[in-house]
Amino acid sequence: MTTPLPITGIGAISAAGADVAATARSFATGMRNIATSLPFVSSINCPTFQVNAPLPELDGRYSTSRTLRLAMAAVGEALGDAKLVRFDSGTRVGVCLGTTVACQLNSVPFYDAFRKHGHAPLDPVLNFINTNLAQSVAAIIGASGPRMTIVNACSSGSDAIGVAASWIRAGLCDVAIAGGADELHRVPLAGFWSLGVISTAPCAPFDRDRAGLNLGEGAGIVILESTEHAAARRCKHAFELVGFGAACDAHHLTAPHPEGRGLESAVRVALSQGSIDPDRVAFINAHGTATQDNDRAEGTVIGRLFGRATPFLSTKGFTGHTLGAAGGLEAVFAIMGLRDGFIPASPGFAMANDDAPAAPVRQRTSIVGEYALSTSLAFGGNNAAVLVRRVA
Amino acid sequence: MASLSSSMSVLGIGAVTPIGRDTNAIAGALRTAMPSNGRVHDELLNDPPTAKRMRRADRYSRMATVAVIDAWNAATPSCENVPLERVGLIVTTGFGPHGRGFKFLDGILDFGDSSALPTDFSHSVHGAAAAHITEILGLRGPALNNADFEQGVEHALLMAQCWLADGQCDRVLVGAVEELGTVYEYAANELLNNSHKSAPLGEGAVFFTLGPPTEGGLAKIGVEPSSDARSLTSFVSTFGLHASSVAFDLLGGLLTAPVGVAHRVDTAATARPSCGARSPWAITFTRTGAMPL
Repeated sequence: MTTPLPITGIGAISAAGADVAATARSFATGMRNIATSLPFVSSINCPTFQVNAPLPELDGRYSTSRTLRLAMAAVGEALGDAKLVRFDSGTRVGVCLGTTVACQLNSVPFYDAFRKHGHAPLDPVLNFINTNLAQSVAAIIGASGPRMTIVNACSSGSDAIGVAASWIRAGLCDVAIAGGADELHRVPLAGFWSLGVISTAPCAPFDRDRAGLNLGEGAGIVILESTEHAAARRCKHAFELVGFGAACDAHHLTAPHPEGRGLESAVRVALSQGSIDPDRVAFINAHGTATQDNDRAEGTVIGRLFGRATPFLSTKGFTGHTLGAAGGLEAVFAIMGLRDGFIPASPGFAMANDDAPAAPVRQRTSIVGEYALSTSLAFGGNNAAVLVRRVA
Repeated sequence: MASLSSSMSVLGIGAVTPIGRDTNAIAGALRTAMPSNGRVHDELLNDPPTAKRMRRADRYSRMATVAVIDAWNAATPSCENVPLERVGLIVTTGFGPHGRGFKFLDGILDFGDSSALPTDFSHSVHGAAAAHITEILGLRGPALNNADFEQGVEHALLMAQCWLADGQCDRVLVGAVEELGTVYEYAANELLNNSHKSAPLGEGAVFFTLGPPTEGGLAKIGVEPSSDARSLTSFVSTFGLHASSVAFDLLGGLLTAPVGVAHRVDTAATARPSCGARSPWAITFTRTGAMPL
């Protein structure tokens, strides 16, 4: 068994809510905040999930990155939840965050001008270089520990949590801010459209008639601490990170292994670290993008490892696919399910395929148990699983 | 709380650089300060064993893949009996596959948002190189892609230390890759001229096969916090500006430094305090004398 790590704070912002409390209300009512118009000019017409709440005002160059502002909204909430408003000078704070949009220079106007004239004002380049997600968050909060910006596509947020846990267990930091953030952006929308995986209707994860994903934006953050650090400041934590697994499919650039080979390995590692059998998992917050390939592979693994008895859902119907933020948000949602004692009906799901080995919940479902699992699959064949436990 | 081992064994090195791909050739070029144009020659990236599987890949993915495969094949002791689910991969970059990213933007600008090419998009994501690498080598352990303009290699090495120390992995392939695209070249030249600095631009990839400190190998390498950025030892100043420059420095140090201990201290924190990186990391490497040069 791997040493459990206290989770002392959580923060979330997405179309489901501007904070954890608002998100919980959306889950309780089943409300889906679907946007029918885009916040940028594009010839693509499809539903998205957008954050309409005001975001933190940041100084200077930091103000230019919406992804960074989304991240800081969730970081601020999580640090407040952990009662870590200010760090002692000796506290080593690590920052590990996943993203996809913030790691690429995606300024279409800049590139258009460069193509036409061979030169262009460099502000977008400077803003891009100066707003690396983990570097910037570390600078804003004054963190002095290790930091990484994980760019593992759609599993980035989950992988960031795994990295942060490794740092704490290795003694590299006392506190770690982990999760992910991404903004809704024109370029990845065009990219997923080009792959033919964007739905023009509200997404329906795991449904027989699912037609693809809807993009979203947001940030999800957990605060991990060493047991010693949490105890020293008399912080009573209610949740722990007890397991994390990551594994590659070694199969294809964009498609998951059809049998979910890497995902199964990742889940088994997470369960092994937690020293539990699959039947101890109270529910699964599945990746569930509503693409044909993802949901088939993920449903196959869930059915094979957990059978039909373990309830699961995809929260993409509340948030859209938030890419680098998804793993962070869904780790928070897993904790919320344990905390609140229920998971909502998996939004968009109505009917399973006849041969589906497992189906998500169709109604609000009570959760009794200590453990919850969050799974992530990504471009490049990356898979990750985060296992959390309720301790109080 | 686990204790982090302070060093790892360097079991193999793979590099593709503007001055060659073979480590003996690179070492010789470093000693003679052979000039280069900063770009990797195309013929160094066309490997018959991988050519078909890499036919849609761009320079970024090709550079990373050939460097990793060389590091894997050069490993001593060999990796052939290491279970592939116990091999980790960490790819660090500053700018990622931006050449392909701008090609995707070409598609948007020329044909509209709904008509850009899917292959350009799928290869423009940072994980594209790692996807090719894991598929070709069959690696099924954890893989990380790290984007960082300052201390990416240091943090990648730290993660490798964690994975080896906590038993997640028996081997970790770690390195950096950067391509020199036209937009990056333009922007960097403009920014460097404006700041009155001068640093030649370059591209390439350097990867190391790392194992636990008990494994022998060519050298020992480790990363430790350093509050004293006392000695910047830049062995190779003619290559990339960001993430890959540290990897090139390590390569240069391993290939050209005398047997013994050398340091590579990252001064990014002191050079750019506004970025808030207040804790520089020092990379220490010790040649054991087993380097086959």
